Amino acid sequence: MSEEYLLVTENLTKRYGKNVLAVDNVNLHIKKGAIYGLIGRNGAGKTTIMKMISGMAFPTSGEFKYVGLTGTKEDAFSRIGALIESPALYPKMTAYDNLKIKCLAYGIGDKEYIMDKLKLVGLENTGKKKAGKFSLGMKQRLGIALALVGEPDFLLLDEPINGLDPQGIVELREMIQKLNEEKGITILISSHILEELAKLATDYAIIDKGRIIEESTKEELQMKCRDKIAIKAKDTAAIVPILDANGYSDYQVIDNSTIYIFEKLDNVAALNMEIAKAGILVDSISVESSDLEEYFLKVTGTAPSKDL
Amino acid sequence: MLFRMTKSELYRASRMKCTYIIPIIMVAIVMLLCFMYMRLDSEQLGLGESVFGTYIEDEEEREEAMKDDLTNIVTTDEEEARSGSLIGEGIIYDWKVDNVFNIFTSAADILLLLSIFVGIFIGMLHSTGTDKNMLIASGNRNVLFGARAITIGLYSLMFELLILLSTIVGIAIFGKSVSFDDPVRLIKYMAVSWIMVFTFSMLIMLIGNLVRSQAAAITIGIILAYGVLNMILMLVDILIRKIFGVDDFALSEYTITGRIQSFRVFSSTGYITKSLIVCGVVLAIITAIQVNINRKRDLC
Repeated sequence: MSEEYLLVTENLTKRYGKNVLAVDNVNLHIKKGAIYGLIGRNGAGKTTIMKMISGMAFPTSGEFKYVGLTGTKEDAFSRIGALIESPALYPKMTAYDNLKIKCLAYGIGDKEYIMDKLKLVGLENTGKKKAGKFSLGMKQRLGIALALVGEPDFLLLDEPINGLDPQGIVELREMIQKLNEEKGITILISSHILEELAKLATDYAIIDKGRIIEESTKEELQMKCRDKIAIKAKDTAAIVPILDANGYSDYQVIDNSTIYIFEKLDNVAALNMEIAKAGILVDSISVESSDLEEYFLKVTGTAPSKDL
Repeated sequence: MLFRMTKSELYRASRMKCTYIIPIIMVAIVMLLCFMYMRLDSEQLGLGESVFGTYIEDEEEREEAMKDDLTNIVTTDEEEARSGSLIGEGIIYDWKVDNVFNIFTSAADILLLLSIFVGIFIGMLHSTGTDKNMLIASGNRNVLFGARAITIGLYSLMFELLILLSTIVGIAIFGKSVSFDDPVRLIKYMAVSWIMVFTFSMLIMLIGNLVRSQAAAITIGIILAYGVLNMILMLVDILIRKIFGVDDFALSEYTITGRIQSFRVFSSTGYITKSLIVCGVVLAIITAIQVNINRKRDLC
């Protein structure tokens, strides 16, 4: 197993009862220092995966290994910061008390440390206000502050943008980037706001009905989401010399039957002619464009029908 | 790790209002009972004639009667001792701390109030989902269980000490003078009483964890504390006696609440040993069930 990974899961499966398969043989490869975006609809299995890898739920089968962290699995759990589902807060206690309870569990009794964490999430002036009286956004911020207690190596953020106002979203994004870049924290983040996720994540996994549909890097995904000419043919290797001869350099051979070309998008007809002249049969040639959202809908098979 | 988690749990308990309200209620109950038992006579209390004899007006005669009663208690067997109540005419005429403390610690109130505390302390984790924060911090559910057990143990010990203190204050205010019959015996009694009360609290904690609800934990605590369970046990006793032909079998002898309610400051060493064995067995069962839950059950 490669040393660059922080977490690797092998056929991780979670079944509730006999009929509900929440997570089905999931294999994730989360690199150290990555911001790993988990994309999926509600009920796709994102939260269950996060619960399993943080020790809150037991896998039915399969396993996960914190290859990038030393010590036992239990030691690794204490190196995790998590905000899973809604923020877990004591509603009748202040933000300070909520943080202090967790800090004490980590052996941190320093008041300044707690104040620093509150400052980081902009809750330093909440005073004696009880967490139960906080707005949704404030609760979310406190949940993030709690997740950051103990300076985790791995941060799990399940829909962290929920309830935040636009300014809060920008601040959270900047904070996540800062934590990742300055402190080297690896982050696993899920969100249904794909546009927001696209601004943050360096790696992605698309999950649907408990299964990982695709795992890719940001570059790979961007490539897939770029406007392009998609050529489907029986022999793509034969097409490559034609592309070179016609001055195409920004293209990618995806597999034996698909080539993506990312330039001269208005030259489709001419290119088709050149390929035909060489006697190569083309199954299809078309200009494709999609953003992350469209791409997600396409790969999960949930894109709205064009006939409608 | 256990020390850190315990510190965190103690801090959590210290930030809960019920941590303070419940002992205040207990102290108020002790004070009220001290006042009623030591300042009001049977007529004022509307108790009428006592089953143990008529009310003795003269203080000296009353003290003499108390001595006789105590001698009787100490020399007769345990069952008789239990029926030889220290409350004559609905009024305590033995104002010694040992005996008054005994009355308060064997009452259902302490169990009821501790049930409420434990129900809230444990139930809160499940209703808020905060258990997941703590689990990540500890990485080990059994350590968390241990930390909570220590916290509840310390709280119940504080509870016992508070009852003792308020009993002393109550006697000092409403009684004649503060005196101890046998301080060493009192300490021994208190230690055993605490172990039993702690075991009861652990039972409520287990119920709270099993049902993941503070309301259910408190309700079951009340049922156990107020002897509703004993009624069911009595029915089971009848069945067992009929089926196995055992004459003097009583299941309540083997339950925590049954032991707490019949435990007296003058109970024999045999009784104490039996009580400790019951506590040990119950604690072992509670721990085994909890560890099993920790090994298998997901957090909500």
